[in-house]
Formats: sequence, C-alpha cells, structure tokens
Amino acid sequence: MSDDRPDPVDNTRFEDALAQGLQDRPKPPSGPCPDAEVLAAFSEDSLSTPDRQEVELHLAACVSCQAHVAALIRTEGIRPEVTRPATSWWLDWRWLAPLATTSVVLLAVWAVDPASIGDSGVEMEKTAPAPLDTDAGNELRESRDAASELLEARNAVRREQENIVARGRVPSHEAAAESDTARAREEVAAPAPQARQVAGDPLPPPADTALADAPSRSAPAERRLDDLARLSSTASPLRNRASTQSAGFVITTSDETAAWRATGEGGLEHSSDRGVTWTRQLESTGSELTAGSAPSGSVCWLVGRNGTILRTTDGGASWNRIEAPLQSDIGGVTATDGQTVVVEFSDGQAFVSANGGSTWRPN
Amino acid sequence: MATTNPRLVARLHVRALKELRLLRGRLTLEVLSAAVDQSVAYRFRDSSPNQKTISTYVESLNVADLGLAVMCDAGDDTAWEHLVLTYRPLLYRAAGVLAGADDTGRELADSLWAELYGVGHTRSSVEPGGERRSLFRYFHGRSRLSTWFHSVLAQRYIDLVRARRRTESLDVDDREEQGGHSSGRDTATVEAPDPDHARYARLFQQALQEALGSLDPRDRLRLSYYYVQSLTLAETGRLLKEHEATVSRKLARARKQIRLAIEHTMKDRHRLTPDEINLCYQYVVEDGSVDLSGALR
Repeated sequence: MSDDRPDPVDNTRFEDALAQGLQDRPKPPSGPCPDAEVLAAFSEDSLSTPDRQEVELHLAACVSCQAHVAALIRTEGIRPEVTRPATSWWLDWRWLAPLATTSVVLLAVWAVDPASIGDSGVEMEKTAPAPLDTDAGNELRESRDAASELLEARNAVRREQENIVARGRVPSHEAAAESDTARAREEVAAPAPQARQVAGDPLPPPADTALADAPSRSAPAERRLDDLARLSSTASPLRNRASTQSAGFVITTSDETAAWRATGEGGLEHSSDRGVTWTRQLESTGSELTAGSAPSGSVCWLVGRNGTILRTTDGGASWNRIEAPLQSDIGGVTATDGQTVVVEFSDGQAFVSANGGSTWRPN
Repeated sequence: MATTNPRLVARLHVRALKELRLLRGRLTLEVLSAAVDQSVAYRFRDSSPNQKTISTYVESLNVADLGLAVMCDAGDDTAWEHLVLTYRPLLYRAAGVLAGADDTGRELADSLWAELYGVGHTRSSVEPGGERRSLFRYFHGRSRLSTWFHSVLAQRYIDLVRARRRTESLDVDDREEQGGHSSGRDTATVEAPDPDHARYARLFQQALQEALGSLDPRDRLRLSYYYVQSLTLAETGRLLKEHEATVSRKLARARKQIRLAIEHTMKDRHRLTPDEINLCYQYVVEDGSVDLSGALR
C-alpha cells in the first residue's frame, strides 16, 4: 500500500482523493484577505520580502485567495505595450538598429561578392556612422565583429569548395550547391546574435529556436516551452498566454526534416520546411500537452495531462488516442519508433510499451 | 507617522513624466505628492514605519500608473482617452481568459469599466454622502495598473461564480425536496449502500487533515496550486519562485509524505486493511461533488 509497492490503481485513487481532500479542507482563520492590489503585486513579484511572506502564509490557508492568484497568473501575459522613456533621437535604437542591420548585410554581400556591389557598396561602408561612445555604439561594433567572423568562416568554406573543384573531385554545379548548403548551415548554426539584438528582431519563428537544439525528450521539451514562452512575451506581450493553456512547445525529428508544434490553445501544427511554414493538424487535443517525441518524420508521440497519449504513424495525417496505463499527468515521453515508447508520469513512474501502447509494463 | 521625503517625490514626478509623456503638463508635483501620501497612509495604516521603510515603499511604486489613475480619477479627458485605448481591449481579453467564451466576462469587464468611471452601482461607486467615487481610489500604485485591473476583474468573477453556485445549490435542494432528481452521489449511495462508507470517508479526511497540518505552509500551498487550482508546474513555480523541476520534485515528496502519514494513521490507529484503505480513497472521490477549481477557472 505504500510507494515501495507500486500499485498504479491505488496511486491514482490516492491522487484523486488527495485533490478532493485539499478542496474540502476547511479554511482556518488567518486574518482578512489581502486586497486586490496586494494580490496583484504578489503575482507580479513586486512585494517586499516580508510582505510576500505574509501573503504566502495567508494563501496557504485560503483557497479563495489561491483562486484569485491562479486567475491572475492565467492573465499574466495580457499587458499593454511598454511605454519607453523619452531619449534623445540620435540615441534611439529604432534608427540605429536598421542602420546596423543594413551595414551587416552590405558587409556580408560585399565580402561574398564585392563585384556585385561595386563602388556604391564601398561608398556605403565609408559613410557608415562613426563609432558612438554609447551602448548602442558598442552593440553596433559587436555586431560588425560578429559579421566579420561569420564572413571569415564563410570564405574559408568557399575557398575549400574552390579547392575541391580545382582538384576535379566534384563537378562545379555540385560544388556550388554544396557551397549554398554550407552557407545555409552556417546561417542556421551561427547567426550573429548581436546583430539580432541590435536589429530588435521581433520574434524568430519558434521552430528556429527549437530546431537549433532538437532533442525530443521531455525535459528539453519543457525547457523549450519555457524558452518559447519567454520569446513570446519579449516580442509581443499581447500574444502571450491568451488562454489558460501553456505556451506550447516544438518537437523535431532527429534529422530535422519535420517538426510538430503544440500550440498554447491545445492545438497541433506541423512543419516540413524547418519551421518556415506551419499547417494545422489538430484544432484541439482536448488536454494540455506537455511533451512529445518524434523518432522519424512519420512517427510522433505526444503526451499530456490526465493520461493523454496521442500517436501518429503517417506524419500526422491521422492521430490515434492511446490508452495510458494511469489516468494522471504525463510529463515526458521517449519513442524509438511507432511501437516502442517510454512515458514518464509526473509522479516519477515510468511505463514502457513495445506494441504501440496496446499494453504497458513498469519501466 | 513619518512623512514622505519631498525630494524623493520630486524624483518620482520626473520619473512618471518620463515614463508616460501624456502626464507632462497635467500631473503636477502637488497632485502626485498627495497621491503618494495617500498610498503611504493606506499601506501603513496599521503600523508606524520609519523613514527608510517609507522611502523603500515609495521607491517601489508604479508611479506613472499611479499618475494616470489620479488623472483619470480627476476626469482628465486625455488620460481617459489613453486609458480606454490602451487598457480596455486588454481588460476584455483578460475577461475572456477568466470566463471563457460566454458573455459573463464581457459583462464583468463592462461593469468594471463603469465603476472606473464612477457610474457603477456597487458600494464602491457611491460615497456615504451619495457622491460618486471612482474605483481608481483603491489603486495606490503597488502593482501595475494592468495587473490591478485583472485582479479586480478576477475578484469580481470569483464572487459571481460563488453566488451562482449558491443559487444552484439551493435549486438542487428544492428539487430534492420536491422529489425530483437527486445528485449522482446520492443515487450511487442508494444503489450500493455500504455501512462503512461515511465512516471511511470521515477517517480519510481526518487523517488527511492531520497529514496536511504537519506540512510546511509552502508545501500545502504548492499542493493547492497544483491540485485545487490546476496550475501547471511552470505557473506554480512562478508563483513560488521555484523552478518547475523543483516544484515537481517537492510535489512528489509531499505526496509521498502525506500518503505514508495517512496510511500509517489508518492502519495503526483505525486498524484498516490495505483494501479498506483503498476503499477510503474511492469513497472520498465518489463523495466529491464540489469541484471548486473547475468552478473558479
């Protein structure tokens, strides 16, 4: 009956009973409830430490205030646009950013093929603003340095390609294709972060971020979820947490040929072009998804709360709901193929199936 | 009580005008100073803080939002225009998140808007003397204005849901008295009477309350956020300032601790067998007709 003897049925019953018991717990006297402004400040984490502790102590005993705070955290992402303090126009990043971006792009193009720009490109380089003695100026210099490094690496690849062609190992058109591929790889692997910051790039497609580190296990997936949430809130506060669901996450195949994206609204999207475009596959999965694993472009497993397990073996054309060994929250999944999968429940229990989820055994 | 440092207020005034341009030429130092004094008086109404504590508090105020609220309360048209354009759509979105697709959220948001104008019909809208007062008088700059709007809205929504639940409960009682359909719980009891049902459920509740009572308040709060309020691990972690992995680990530990304590009590004190303990769990779940978390979501 204890946790030393795992009994899935008992465990589920215990969890349900615990949840019910917590709800029925009588409220002990704990002083008057904090007002709406204090709870708002609490949810923003802007209270002083003693005030915060006092509110937390009250919350531990007051289900009503817990509900209030829970409601606040669900509306957390809905914020007005930040009003920036007034600054001198010449220090405003809004014109420095495009200028820096333009400089970087021109530098890159000029370094690859100076002839395509000619004198005008050189002229632009000459007339680029002098280094500023400001943070923005430093960022501009850093972005130029990053661009120079990128170009050096790119030229090295190019020289290598030329050598290969010269040695006659690869026909020239194939070398050109390989060169393009290498260039694309470099761009994916080493974008100039400073340049992106200076440019104030609004929001990189979520898939870009996820594809850069593409393991398909649950823990990294949760980290990606956090990263995506952060990115969303940075770029567009209004788009963050429009619903009560989590912000979503991306699952990619190991060769990055396909990706699925669980959206915050409980839906599911698919991309077959490295996250450039996404198509809707499921409007709603009926439950909050927490993790996924895609061993190939046609097979993907998704897991979520309340024992939700979904599987596709045809690239998402159809999805099957698989019966879970327990009806509690699943936090992780690792699939080898369409048949073999390990699911990890949030209480630490793990189950494995070798027949596509028809039967399960403790792992 | 110590007074607010005038130099500090002057610095806050400059900050407010920098953060929100429309306040320039509208929000005077005197008006802001009065608002800050009111905020300090309200915050420390039950204590006598020293100058340093007051200064720390005043420094932490969302002074531009406080200035905007003060200007709106004073009926400044430009301030209202900014407020409506910036915050009303957000208020509707928040209402949608809280109340779902039905019109309740929208109605609540509209009613809140009316109270902000000072034309609502709640107690907060009318002074004892009959004079109208705006809800803005309850905003003291401790949080951002947007979060305060959400907080007031959440409070209204929770009150509304409670009121509805009370009404529904009365309706159910009426139907039962008239011999109508009873709840599923009672039907189950009639169909499968177990003389120990009530006793098992009571024993479990007692053992659970004992086990919960022995937990640290933060552990109880973590359990409640997760199980009662149905927050995700990440949301729970954000409220408790913990990483979600830490939340998950501590939840598992608390669960184990509670279960061991409950089963120890049931086995040693009440001499229940493992099967009977399992029945306790089952009965508690069956009896649970109240789903507060679902109702409040």
